[in-house]
Amino acid sequence: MNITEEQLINDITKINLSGRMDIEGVSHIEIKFAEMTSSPRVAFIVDMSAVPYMSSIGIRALLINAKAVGKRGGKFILLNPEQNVKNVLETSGIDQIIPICSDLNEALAKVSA
Amino acid sequence: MLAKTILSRILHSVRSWPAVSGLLVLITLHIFALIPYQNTLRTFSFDLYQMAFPRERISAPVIIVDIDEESLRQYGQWPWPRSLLARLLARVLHMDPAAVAFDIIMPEPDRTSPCQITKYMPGIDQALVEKVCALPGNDALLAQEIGRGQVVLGVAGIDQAAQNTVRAPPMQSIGPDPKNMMRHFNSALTNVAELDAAADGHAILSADVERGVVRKVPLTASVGNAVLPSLSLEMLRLASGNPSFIVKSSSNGIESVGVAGLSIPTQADGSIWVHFSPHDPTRFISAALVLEGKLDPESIKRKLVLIGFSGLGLVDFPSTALGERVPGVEIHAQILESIFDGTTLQRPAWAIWVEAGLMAGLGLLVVLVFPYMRASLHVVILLVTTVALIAAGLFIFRQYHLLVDVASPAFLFIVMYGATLADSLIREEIQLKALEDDLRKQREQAAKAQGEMEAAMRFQMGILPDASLTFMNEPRVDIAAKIEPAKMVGGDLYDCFMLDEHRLFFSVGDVCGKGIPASLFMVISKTLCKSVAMQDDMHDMEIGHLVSKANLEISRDNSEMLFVTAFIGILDLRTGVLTYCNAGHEKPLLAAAGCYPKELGGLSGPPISTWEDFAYKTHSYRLSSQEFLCIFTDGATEAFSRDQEEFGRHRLVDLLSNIAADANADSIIKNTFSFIHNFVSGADPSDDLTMMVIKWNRGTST
Repeated sequence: MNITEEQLINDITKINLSGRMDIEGVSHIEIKFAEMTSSPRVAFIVDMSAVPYMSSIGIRALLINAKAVGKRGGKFILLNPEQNVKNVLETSGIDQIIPICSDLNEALAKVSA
Repeated sequence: MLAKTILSRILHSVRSWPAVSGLLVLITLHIFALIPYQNTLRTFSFDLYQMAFPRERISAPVIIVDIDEESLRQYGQWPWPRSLLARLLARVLHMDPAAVAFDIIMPEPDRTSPCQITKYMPGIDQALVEKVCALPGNDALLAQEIGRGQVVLGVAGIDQAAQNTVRAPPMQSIGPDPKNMMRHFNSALTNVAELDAAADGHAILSADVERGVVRKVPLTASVGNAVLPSLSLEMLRLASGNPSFIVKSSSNGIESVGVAGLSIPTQADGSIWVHFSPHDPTRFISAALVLEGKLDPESIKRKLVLIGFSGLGLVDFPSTALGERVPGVEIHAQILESIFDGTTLQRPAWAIWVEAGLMAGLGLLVVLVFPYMRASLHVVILLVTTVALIAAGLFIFRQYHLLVDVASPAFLFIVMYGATLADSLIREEIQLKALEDDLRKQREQAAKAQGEMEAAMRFQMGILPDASLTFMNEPRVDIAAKIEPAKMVGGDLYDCFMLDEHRLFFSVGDVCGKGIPASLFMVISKTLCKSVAMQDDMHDMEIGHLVSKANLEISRDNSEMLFVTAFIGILDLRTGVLTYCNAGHEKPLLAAAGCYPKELGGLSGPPISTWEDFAYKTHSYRLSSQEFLCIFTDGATEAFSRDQEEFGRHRLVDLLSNIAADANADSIIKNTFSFIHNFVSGADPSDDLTMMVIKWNRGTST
């Protein structure tokens, strides 16, 4: 897996994930992911469009970071997951605690709110 | 640069210091000639030089008049009457030799002298005795002949002290008194005084025999207070007409011996190493031939003549360095020949230092340089060095007649290399042993861990109820459940028990992750769920509230951020009404014989322990008595075959659409599991596999 970050306007951080989010993939990015979300900034949009597969370990990785941001009063939004990943997120009810947007503008509006 | 690295390596290789100091001790012992058996090795190598390059006879200055088997046959057994020896000597002297020497000692008067014979004749007439005794004795006859020519008589040095005087030619000593430097005998076995007095030359015959081999002979030795030349040197003195022999010495010992015009370099003790040529019968002339007067006078004229014997049984035959057994008299002949030809051997004083240097160099090479070289290079260096040493030793011997011991350095080199090799082998063995020990310990630990894992698994499986057994006496429900952990301990869980008389509580869950943490979390989750469900004030609470409460409890201490997806439900056995809560779990399937399975929808919230204050929703569904509620974990849908093909939910749906009319909960689980087993066909299960099947039996409820 790969992970990169980019700064958007208004101190919003966009994190781009790519690759399968299974045990092996997550083990490559989890430390970097945690470092990014532990920055003082409070608004994160995680681009999921390049993630073809999501396992429970992947869900855990998203949850850990979402919770860490949430505790500081920040926002953590998933952007544009592939359909089967979206299914997993919905099946597991993650969409009920981490908002999922299919459009960047929508996401920007949500984190800025 | 290279020298510098090697030097720093040397300084840092503390390990080699014991070996280096051992080497220094050995070299010191070598210099003081204290190494046991080194001399044997050395003389053996010198013998090899001689065997490789024996002396060639250039001139033939020596003739041995040999009292051989033939002579004994013709002239009777030994000892011969001295009158016969006198005749022999007379014949020899007649042919004008340069000098004659007897390699025979005659210590007692001849018993066959006429006067002596009368003593063995009892009752002999006294007048006759006087007449016979007036005849000249045999010793007198021999003495007379000895007096005629330049004849050397020899004595044998003995170590017992005895009161007799030894005649010696005058010695001219150059340098410090050599008497204490040379081989010393306390006394000597001398000839009859009458003969001794007649002889011009007096010599010592003794040569030291080393285990039957003559290698070194003294050219001069002291007997009591006298200094005698060897037979060979004394003959040369007489032949050259010198009044005295010369011994030249320095503080280091004797340097040379000789006569005016001839100097023979010697070892410090006045001895020389004999340079042997092979046994040569042309050196010998039978005494019988001489006595008969049939010999060509030219064969002896101006020659050095040794009178000795080779008759078997008369003498012992010492070995030469060439390994031949020759009569002792031939060794004297060989010494004379090599002096004559200037091919005497010498072991120079510097040899021991050169040897010490070679030993030090090669020893240090092995100890300090070899460890940094490839082993294949060692062998090459070892071979080349050994061959070069032997070649150098042979070259110096052949070209300069010098004896330098290359065997000692070569031997040391090979032995030290062998020792370091053995040392490194032993070290490797120790390392290997340590590695094996480590491996064994690791295996033991692994086995122990395995045992603990198995115990954990038994414990984990132990807390899961056997669904079929638990509800055997409950006709209103047909329930079965099974878990197959992927690793030793799993993260899947299920539970089922009666909340009260009519209500069945059940749950199926899947902890995120595998192994020990997941299984511990599973145990905690299951226990907390049950304990919350069993609390009195929870009895009539909605399942959603119950799960919310359990979620709060489970979320409390979750530093590992694990979570569990779960399907938790309560089935009222009176009505078949199912209230349930799906916390992020795969949707269960409802299957019935002859029907296509349908999903039991309705999500209540995220997995348990993801959001501690989440309020889970309650859903409900009324089961028909034909429907099997099939709850499973993703171990079923996400099982992978050997070709990495996912089993998938669709295969499970297909399977459940074909259940038999007489199917029950247990048979459905067995079918499903064996179907999945066939699909993965021995591939490692990727995740725990859990399934629970529940059917409500309406008919028996009233």
